[in-house]
Amino acid sequence: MGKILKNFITFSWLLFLGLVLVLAGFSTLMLVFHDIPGMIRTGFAGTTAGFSIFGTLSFVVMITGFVPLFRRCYYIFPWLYPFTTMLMINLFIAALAEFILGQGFSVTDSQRYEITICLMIIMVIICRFIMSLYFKIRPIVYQRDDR
Amino acid sequence: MNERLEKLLKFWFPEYQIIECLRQHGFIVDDGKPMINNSSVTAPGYSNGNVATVPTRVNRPVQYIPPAYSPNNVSSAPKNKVNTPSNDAFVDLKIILRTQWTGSEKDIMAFGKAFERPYLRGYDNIKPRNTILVIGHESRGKVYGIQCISNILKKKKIFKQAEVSVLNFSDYETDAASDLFMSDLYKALNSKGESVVFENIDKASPSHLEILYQLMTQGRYKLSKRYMLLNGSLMEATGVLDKDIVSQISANGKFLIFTSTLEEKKAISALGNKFIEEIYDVIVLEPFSPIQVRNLANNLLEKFGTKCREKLRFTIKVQEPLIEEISTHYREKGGVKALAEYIDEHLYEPLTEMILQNIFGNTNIGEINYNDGYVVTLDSGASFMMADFVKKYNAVELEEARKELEQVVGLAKVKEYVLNLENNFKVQQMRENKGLKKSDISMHMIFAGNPGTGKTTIARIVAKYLKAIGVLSSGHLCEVTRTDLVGQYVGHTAVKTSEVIKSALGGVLFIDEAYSLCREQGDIFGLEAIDTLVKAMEDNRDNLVVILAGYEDEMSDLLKTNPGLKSRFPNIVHFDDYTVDEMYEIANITAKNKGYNLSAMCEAGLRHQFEARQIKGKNDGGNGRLVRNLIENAILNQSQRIVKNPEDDMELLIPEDFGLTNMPEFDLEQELNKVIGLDSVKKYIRSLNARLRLQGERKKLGLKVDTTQTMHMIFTGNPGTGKTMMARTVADVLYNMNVIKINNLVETDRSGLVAGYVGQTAIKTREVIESALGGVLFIDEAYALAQGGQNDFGQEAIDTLVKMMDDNRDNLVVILAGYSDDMRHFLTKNVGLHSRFPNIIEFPDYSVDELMQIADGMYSAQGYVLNDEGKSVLREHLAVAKQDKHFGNGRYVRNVFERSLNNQALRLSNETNLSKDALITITEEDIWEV
Repeated sequence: MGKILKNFITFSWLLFLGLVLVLAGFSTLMLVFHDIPGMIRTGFAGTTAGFSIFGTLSFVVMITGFVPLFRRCYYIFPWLYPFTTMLMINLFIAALAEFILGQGFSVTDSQRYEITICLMIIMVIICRFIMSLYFKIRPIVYQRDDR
Repeated sequence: MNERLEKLLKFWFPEYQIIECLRQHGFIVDDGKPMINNSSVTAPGYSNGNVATVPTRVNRPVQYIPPAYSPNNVSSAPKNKVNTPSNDAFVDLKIILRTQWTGSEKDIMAFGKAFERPYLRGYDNIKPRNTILVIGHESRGKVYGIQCISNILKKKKIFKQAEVSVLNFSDYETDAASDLFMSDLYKALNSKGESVVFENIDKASPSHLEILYQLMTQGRYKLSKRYMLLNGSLMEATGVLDKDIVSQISANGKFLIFTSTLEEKKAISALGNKFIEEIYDVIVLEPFSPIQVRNLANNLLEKFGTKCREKLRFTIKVQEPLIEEISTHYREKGGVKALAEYIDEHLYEPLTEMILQNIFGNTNIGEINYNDGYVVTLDSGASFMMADFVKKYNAVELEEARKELEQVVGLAKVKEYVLNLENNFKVQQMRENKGLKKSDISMHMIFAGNPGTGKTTIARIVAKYLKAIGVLSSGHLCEVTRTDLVGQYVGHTAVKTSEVIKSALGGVLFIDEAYSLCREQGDIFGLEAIDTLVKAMEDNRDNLVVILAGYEDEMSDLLKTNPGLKSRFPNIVHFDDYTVDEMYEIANITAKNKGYNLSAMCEAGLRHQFEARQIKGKNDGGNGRLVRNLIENAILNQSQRIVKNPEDDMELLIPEDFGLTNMPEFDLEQELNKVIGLDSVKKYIRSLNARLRLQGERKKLGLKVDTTQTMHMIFTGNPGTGKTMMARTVADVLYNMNVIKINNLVETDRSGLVAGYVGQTAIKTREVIESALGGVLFIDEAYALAQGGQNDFGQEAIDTLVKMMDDNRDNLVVILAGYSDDMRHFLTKNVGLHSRFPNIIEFPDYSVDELMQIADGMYSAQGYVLNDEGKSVLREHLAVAKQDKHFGNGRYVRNVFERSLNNQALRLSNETNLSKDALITITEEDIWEV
């Protein structure tokens, strides 16, 4: 009976996590392909919701890692953990890029726009580089420690 | 080009790891249950299209669980086995290990193979990943090598943690340590590290080996009891309601590595075939070659240099001759550790001392070389020998021990023996240095001698000596007696004796009164102790010296109880009793050590006392202990004296403190005047006294003195003629003339010498005679010894008496007494008796006047007066009684005296108001009634 309950809880959380991940993924895509180009094209800063979404995703991922029953999701779908990690980092980079653009485009000044865009590109490159380096040195290792 | 592009893309897009994971594990995996796969195993990293199989052992189901992610496993299916990342990692392992660990190519290859094996054939997290047996001499670097490998594999991401758990079976040799072993094993197998090393596997008990065997074959060992984890240790769980109970120990997929210092064949035979079959890799480490020793010395010196730089802030340059010299000090027995300790002792410590003494001033760079000694040379050209700064505590110890030995009074032969030990050891060292075989001679000893002759003192010095010359590691003295070795019940003795032996390892085990271990035939506990001791002496040849101490004869009996004992104690050291001179010297030294001085006036008195106590044949002379007791008593007496007379010298001990002034002068005439009659006897005794006095005067002047004169006497005469009384006077005369050492008269007769059973008479007679040694033995009615029939034991007593008289010529005077005729008959019973008793003194019967004098003396001594009538009645009575053949002489008079007193009491019993006269007067009526 206990096992059935555990499985139920795990799968319920899995569904919820999946929903959050889909939302986050969609948000990332929206940020990268819609919001940021949109700001660059229009020259106007939009609402910067990237960090909020990042915060939500972080919270959910944290809970997932903290609670053993929720953590089972990663054991059942081994690819889920690297996916979640990568998604979070990409979302963060995108949110940061959006934030920089938002700050830069808050004042109407073409020179400022250019600097902002340069900054954003540099930031993205640097962050990507750091991320890549980190995963090169410490690749994601699937370890079932608590087993 | 393609590869470079691929690498670049993989770098900038780490998202590829998600795809790799999908590829490796699939979209969804089972919930952690292992898949049983009875087929042959494919190694991880190989794709399904290119299978390279490694055949498994026959009939062994292989359990395969997806291994950990690693960059090695992430590459696409390799076409060439050599290029697989896992192989690269282990090739790198060998290359790196070569730089960190000293060993032959073969050893490094073997280690590499042993650690690579499970990654090739597959492993699970239940059974051990691999079981390896590493054989090499002490401190060869077995555990160090494994630690290096763990570090390298951690860096390669093959190991999660580099920690290596080590269990040493030397710590679990007793049964009591079994729980400790289980606890430590559990901790080791559940630690973060990937390897567990079991040192000295050959010392494991069969039960431990069984546990390891089960871990190796099944991956788990079911515990017979339930345990719980408390503060990291396993504790027996007593409550049934405890949760988290540990019921089994699992191998958890760790490397199990066993090490042994025995030779390969011995190690394998110690472990057994069953155990060996489960070991996949047996690595026999080769001894270091000369080049490796040199490299090792070089490495150690590099570490030494680093340590000097970091701790002492002194940069040293090491020269080639130094490396060569250090290499020569490598011994296979001690291994790397011993060489490192040598460097510490001869280089690091002296250098520290030199820096502490600021020898180098402000310079902090120097060169260490070897040129007939280790030399530090500074840039300025100044050179300093390091040997001058080596701590010489050993030499100090040796000097101290030698000095202590020299301070011991007497025992010249014993001292020579102890000094010879040092010489032998030095020669053996010289032989070893020259490459010749060192022969270990047995150091076990027997100290035979009376109590107080310095056996324990010498044993202590021997222990210090052996430590100083390097034979023993600790040099402590463990002093025990029978009570410390023998237990109360069967089996307890062996345990008790083993514990004592263990506490004495590295030092000297001194068993005092060792003969008490086998006093009786049926003493099974004593025999058990001896057997345990003999076994321990064999097992610990190099690190234990046993000294047995006791009386000479009893020790020979002890050696006969166990056939192996005599050969194990080849060195018998005899401790003779101290001479009077030596005892006086000891007295002086003892007093000085306590802060006192002996007055010159004490010498004569003390010498006299010592001579009186040192009786040959008696084992209780006291020797050194007697001297110590005398001095201590004198100190107590002196304290009393000082309290009364505070102005007296507090450091001086005078004769009064020893009680030497209280000896009254002996007055022979006074003593003889107490005796009534016996003029001929008195004359003899006066002549004896005069002769002995004259001999004393001649001795003082250095003239020749005849000491062969026999003092044994026979007193013949009727009973009651004063023989026993005279014997006491004779004893006083002989004591005062220094013929006998103690003023002791032992009186006995046939009943005191003869026993009821065969063989017991000689023992009984011997005991009585031994109690009289140093004094006079008086045997009354000695003729009774010869009056029995053929089966009488009196003859045995006579024979024993004759023998002991010969053995103790200078130490015993025998006086036999009895009726004249019977004594003459007695002397014919043993051929030697007549010649041994040249002095036959006749005790004539008392005359009536003499008897009256005796009676008068008796009455006046008790405060009575015999009235005149009474006297005349008594005289008549005695004259008549004297006619009787069995007249008792003095004894008869005593009887008359006693009865007359009774009669007087009866006479006066009905009267009241008795006057003093009436009470003290004995009348003729009292005598009539006798």
